[in-house]
Amino acid sequence: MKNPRKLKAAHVSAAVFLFLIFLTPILIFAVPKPVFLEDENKERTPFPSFNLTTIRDKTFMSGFEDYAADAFPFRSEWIGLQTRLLLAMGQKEVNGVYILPDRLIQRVGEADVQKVSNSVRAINQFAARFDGATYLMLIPTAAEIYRSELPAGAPTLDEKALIDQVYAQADGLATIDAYSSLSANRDSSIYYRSDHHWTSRGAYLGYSALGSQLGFTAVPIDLFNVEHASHSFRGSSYSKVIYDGVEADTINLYSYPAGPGVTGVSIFDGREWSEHDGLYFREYLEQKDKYATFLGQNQPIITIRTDAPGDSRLLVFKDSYSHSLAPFLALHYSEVTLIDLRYLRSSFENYVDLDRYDQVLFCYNMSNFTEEDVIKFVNLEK
Amino acid sequence: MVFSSIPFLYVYLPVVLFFYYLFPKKRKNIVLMASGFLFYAWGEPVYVFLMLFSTLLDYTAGRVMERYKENPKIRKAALLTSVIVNLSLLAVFKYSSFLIENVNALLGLDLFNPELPLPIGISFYTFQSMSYVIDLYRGDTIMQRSYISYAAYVSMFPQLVAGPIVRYDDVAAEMENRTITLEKIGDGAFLFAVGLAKKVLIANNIGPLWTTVKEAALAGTVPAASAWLGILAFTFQIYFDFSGYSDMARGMGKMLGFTFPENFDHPYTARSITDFWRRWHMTLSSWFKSYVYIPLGGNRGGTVKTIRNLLIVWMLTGLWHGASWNFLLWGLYFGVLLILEKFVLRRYLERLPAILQHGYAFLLVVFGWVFFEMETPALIGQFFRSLAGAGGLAAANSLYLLTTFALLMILCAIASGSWATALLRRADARFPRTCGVLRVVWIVLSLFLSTAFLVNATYNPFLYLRF
Repeated sequence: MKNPRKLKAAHVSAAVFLFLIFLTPILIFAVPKPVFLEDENKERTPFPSFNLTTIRDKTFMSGFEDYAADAFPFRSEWIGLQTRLLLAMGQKEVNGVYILPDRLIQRVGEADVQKVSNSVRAINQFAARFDGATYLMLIPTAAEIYRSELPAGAPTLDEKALIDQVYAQADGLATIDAYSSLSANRDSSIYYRSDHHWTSRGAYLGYSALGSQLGFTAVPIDLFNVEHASHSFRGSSYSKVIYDGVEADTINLYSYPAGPGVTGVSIFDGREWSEHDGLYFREYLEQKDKYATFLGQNQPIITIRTDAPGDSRLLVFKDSYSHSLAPFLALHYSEVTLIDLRYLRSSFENYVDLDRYDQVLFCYNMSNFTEEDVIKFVNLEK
Repeated sequence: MVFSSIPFLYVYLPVVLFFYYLFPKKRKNIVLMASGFLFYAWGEPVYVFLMLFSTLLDYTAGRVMERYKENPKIRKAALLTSVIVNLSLLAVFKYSSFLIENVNALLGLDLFNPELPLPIGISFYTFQSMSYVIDLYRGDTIMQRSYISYAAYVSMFPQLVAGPIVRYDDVAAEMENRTITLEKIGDGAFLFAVGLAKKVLIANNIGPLWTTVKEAALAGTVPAASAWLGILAFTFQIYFDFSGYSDMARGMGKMLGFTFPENFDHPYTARSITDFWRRWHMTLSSWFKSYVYIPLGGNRGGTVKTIRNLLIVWMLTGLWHGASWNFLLWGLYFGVLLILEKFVLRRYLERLPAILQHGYAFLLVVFGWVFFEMETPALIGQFFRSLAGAGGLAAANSLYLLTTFALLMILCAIASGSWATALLRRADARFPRTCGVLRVVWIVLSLFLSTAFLVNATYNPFLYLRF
């Protein structure tokens, strides 16, 4: 007891520490939380089931850890703080996202050579067995188009080189250069600032590039009506870092009143078909994932029917980039079917009659093309 | 469950402390044992029975030795049984795959390799448990009558899986009688907060730099600048990771009324390799000294025997870290350096300016981490060639790594020095009140900032958990 003052401070230390670690569990478990984590655009992990099996294989433990982290009070504020702290420490990339002054860019990792060659082989095989014409369009991501704005020496895949390399191996199909016009128009909002997708403006460029090869004449951009449907879109890149230092995005919906109308949209969710009217799912404008305004969430099969004259049908194997591309394509075909091979585990031909289609387009962004290994499923036996 | 995680910090720890403080003094060891087994079962729901078995065995060995005090043969038998079984468990679970792999490769056989997963912390708790039986045999400590108290000692969660290696005799008195005061809790909380910050704010954030470089280095040579940045990052990561963990353990020990031995004393300020090993993982070095080096005869049998003993101890120290050749090499590397220092270098080293002594020791330790991290001699050689410039001097990516990690690197260098501790000690003497308040602020700040990094932790390994 030689120093009563220091003693007192240690008491305060004890009290403060115990208070903090006793209070937090109450906030984790006793305060109700929403089931959906809006900022991160994901479901909150539910409490894991507790039994001998889940204990033995430790899924209870890992489930509990995820539950506690997801139910943590002010979760998204903590993640935002983490991002700010990392930036203050000198980091330029957080959770796979480069944080630039005016935009967030998701890093694309080195390509998996095996996956890429699987996909190339599958596309070539498909082109050989399909009677109509096959096309391939690989779309660079924002990381490629804004490469010069990334921090010096920052690692990201050389997408342009890989596109060229894949195109050189394409056999029996036509390839479409989306890179050139995207790169030339890099200053006109072709990618969202806070999301990994291209905007409708970007998709329009892809559509124009397709026209000359697929045999339609793209409608000039100034003939479209543009509706600014939302100015408060914060997309997938935002969700990874919860960083509001870049401006929110605008969702623009393009329409061409003089063109053919959409007569029906059928969606197959893997179990059953359902009907929707129109290409824009406006209910998503009120939610976090506003990009889903374009044809909703990813689904195994989406078929768009129009009253376009003539009878030409296009089948697209795609990822979500094609959701904002589809409204443009629908101007030139009586039917456009989008197939997402990530969500089909049996042959697509069990659901769709390939012979009805005149043209088939493989349309992927480079991030999905290099990371997914699903294009090979296009040749599954019926 | 690592200490630096949301479930430990905000679920396990408060629940355990609640019951621990609630229970009367005589019953606290029950809470300690139950919480220890729960902690272990969280990570090893099956192998927890292994720990149950080995504590029962060592406890019984202790009882037998005490019962047959007058019969040296029985005492020896009890000791040998316990030591052999403990070492066999270690051999089976930690070294069998390695052994079978090498025997197969050497003799062209195809023996079945069970590839048993390594039980977390087995190297730590078998060593602790053995210290009890050996000390008891030597008469250096007294028998523990209660199984609960003995199991509580081995399974005590703060030091169970990652040390410090607390010898039974270190805490024998406290197992029976310890006082828990608010002051101790406060001091423990401060120590815990220091450790948490070291682990979460520093180690976890510098770690990705080494991960990036290592990934490239496994594929081929890397530019010298990247190689140096990477291995320096690992040098700091492993120190802040492990010493942070030890600080957290000691802090929680204090909150529970125990005094655990120190495990680190600013190792990167060492002036020689001999000095380094007095400052790094001190409880492991002292374990090997007491239970291997000295029983072998230490340095009393002349130069040749001393050299033999040192080599044995350091090969074992290397292998203790993991069952693979690179750990053996790592241990030998230090064994040879220590022998050189002991017999040749010391007198020259002592005449060098202090800064050169520090530089010499630090550089050799950094080189040591190459052996530690690169698993095969070929990769080790390749990494040294990278350090020497075989992969070019620098690339665009080296610059990126430098600019994004420079600040953190400087922070690491500053924080691994001993000045902060010295400053604090002096400030404490002169401005006790201000320092007391600053401690409280530090606890809040470090909990607050660490929480921000833990809520969405994508990278939160604990390096020594593998051992």
